[in-house]
Amino acid sequence: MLRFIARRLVQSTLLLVFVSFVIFILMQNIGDPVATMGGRQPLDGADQLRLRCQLGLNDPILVQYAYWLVGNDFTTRECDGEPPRPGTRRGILRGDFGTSLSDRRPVTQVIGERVPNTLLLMIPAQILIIVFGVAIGIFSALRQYSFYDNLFTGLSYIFQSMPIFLIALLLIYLFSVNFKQWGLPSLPPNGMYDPLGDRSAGDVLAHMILPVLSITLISVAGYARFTRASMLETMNADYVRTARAKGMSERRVNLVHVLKNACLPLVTLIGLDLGALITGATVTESLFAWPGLGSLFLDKLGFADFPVLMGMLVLFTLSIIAFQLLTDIAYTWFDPRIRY
Amino acid sequence: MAATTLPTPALPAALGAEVPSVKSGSRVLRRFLRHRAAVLGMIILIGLALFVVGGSLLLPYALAVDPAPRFKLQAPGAEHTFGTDQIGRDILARLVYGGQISLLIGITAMLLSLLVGTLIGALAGYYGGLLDSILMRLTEAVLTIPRLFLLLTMSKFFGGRVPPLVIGGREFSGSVIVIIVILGITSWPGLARIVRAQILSLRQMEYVLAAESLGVRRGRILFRHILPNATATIIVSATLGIASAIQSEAYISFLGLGVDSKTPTWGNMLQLAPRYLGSAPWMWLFPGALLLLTVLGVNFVGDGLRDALDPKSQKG
Repeated sequence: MLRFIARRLVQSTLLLVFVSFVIFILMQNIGDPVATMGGRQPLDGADQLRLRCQLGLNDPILVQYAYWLVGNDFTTRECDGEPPRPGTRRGILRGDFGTSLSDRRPVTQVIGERVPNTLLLMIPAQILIIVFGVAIGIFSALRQYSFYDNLFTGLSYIFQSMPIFLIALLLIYLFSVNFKQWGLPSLPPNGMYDPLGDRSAGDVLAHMILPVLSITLISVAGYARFTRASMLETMNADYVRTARAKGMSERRVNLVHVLKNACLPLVTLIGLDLGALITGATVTESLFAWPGLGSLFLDKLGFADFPVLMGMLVLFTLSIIAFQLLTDIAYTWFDPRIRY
Repeated sequence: MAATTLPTPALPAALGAEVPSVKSGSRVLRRFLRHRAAVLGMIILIGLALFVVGGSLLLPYALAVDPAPRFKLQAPGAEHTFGTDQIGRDILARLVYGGQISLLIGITAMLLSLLVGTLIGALAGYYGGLLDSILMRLTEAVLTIPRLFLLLTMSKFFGGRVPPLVIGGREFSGSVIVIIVILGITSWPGLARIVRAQILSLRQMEYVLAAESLGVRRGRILFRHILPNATATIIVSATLGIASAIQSEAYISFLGLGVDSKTPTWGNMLQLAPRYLGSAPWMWLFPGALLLLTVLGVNFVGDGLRDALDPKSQKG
């Protein structure tokens, strides 16, 4: 087991270095970060050149990547006849994600302040998804081909085929636009707070309803179908028939023998989804103007602010890899038959 | 695997008996037609195809792309059946011509990813060893990067570098090609893994052994003897791949980094939806509904094909 974990950690590190290198190259060509600096008065040519030199944007790409990875505090930089200055960056391997090019703050700070907002949407949504998805799946499996089973199957087809922005638009249209017209209490369609409000917890909660509902509606279908299929497969297993033959009550068979085993594959699904939790719902966040990581990414993509973008992608990839590993480990605990 | 000293069955006999997934066409067709959802999906898709092809015979392309500010934001009515957008372009015409592009993107991106995925999966599965390790690590790498972020970054990376194309008097934004390529080269890992798994089990079959002992070249064994037997799996994945490509295009275009709105697609018609959400719902309701219908139809057909081709599922 320890050998397995060690091997996976080495593999993941190599994977991460490779992935970050590829993204780093992509990032170099998404736009000119210096072009948008200076706001309404674009920088003149000489200033731009000096700035590019100071930021290290003129270095060869491999050098830039190396500095990003291990820092440049062992080198000195000489720009425009000024006295050489030692580098200040310590590199991502030593925990320095760099400085945002568009708002000059440390990347960790820029990203860090958005993380809670994204999790505020994603954690309640994920809980709702698991609870309702599994419940609907169990219900449908126990009443296979009944009216409700067919209804849920039909609905899950529709929701799985729907792009999330469509359901979000429909929800906003119904609950924000039409409810207002009809004089009913309407839900706020964007932001986290009412601009004139008191920023209370209730205010945030009201703003959370529609985005959380959109994310939940889209993903609950997948969980329900997965649980249903897994339940049905387990119900045909020999040990279930044995349990029935022994005269065990239907309730006990379903809860203890079927459900427990049917939930095993769910561990993988949930584990992988938890890793993607922090990547959030970019489209939903952008549509509801929710100040989370997704909208930060879109925002910084416009500025070609690659330190922030790189930091986010590394964080996301790290989270996905970490949860993959945790899922594999958890699986051996849930299913002792599995050995690595 | 059987010991090589044993006499191996003749090749044709083994092919006939042991092929697990390819059935006679009529049986597959019968099972497919008995699948109610699949038939519904087929009807939806045929209807959509008639809509985008027939519509372009009735409505001039200019209606879809030339701004007519005098008629902007008109509600659905006699003159403009589905209304007009913020600069007076006819929504119905945009739906027709946009649908062509959306479907084109879905199908070509799927073909590209099919090509890459099948090739990588087949090579990794058949040759194994170092090649397998390298290809599978590459697959993992692509799978690990959150896809939407990768697509957005790549779209920005390639955006504006491809000149517009003129085909049949219509100008297509170069971004159409960019989207097709980036969707194709990022969506293959799933298929590659499936194909690899299938090849791994197929290469243990006796007819492969027979072919090997006859001295058939390895490349020929892979492409003529093994790969055709994985067709069923590949077809199902490919069908579902169309739905996912159409949806992905819609996501990127909705976020404003996809196909330039001068060339309509169902995705980029939704781009301004948040602004005209309440004031002009016809601008986003119709393309949204068509997107949903298309993806639904493709998914139905894909599921029907899976059930019809899967030797294990005996129902239906």
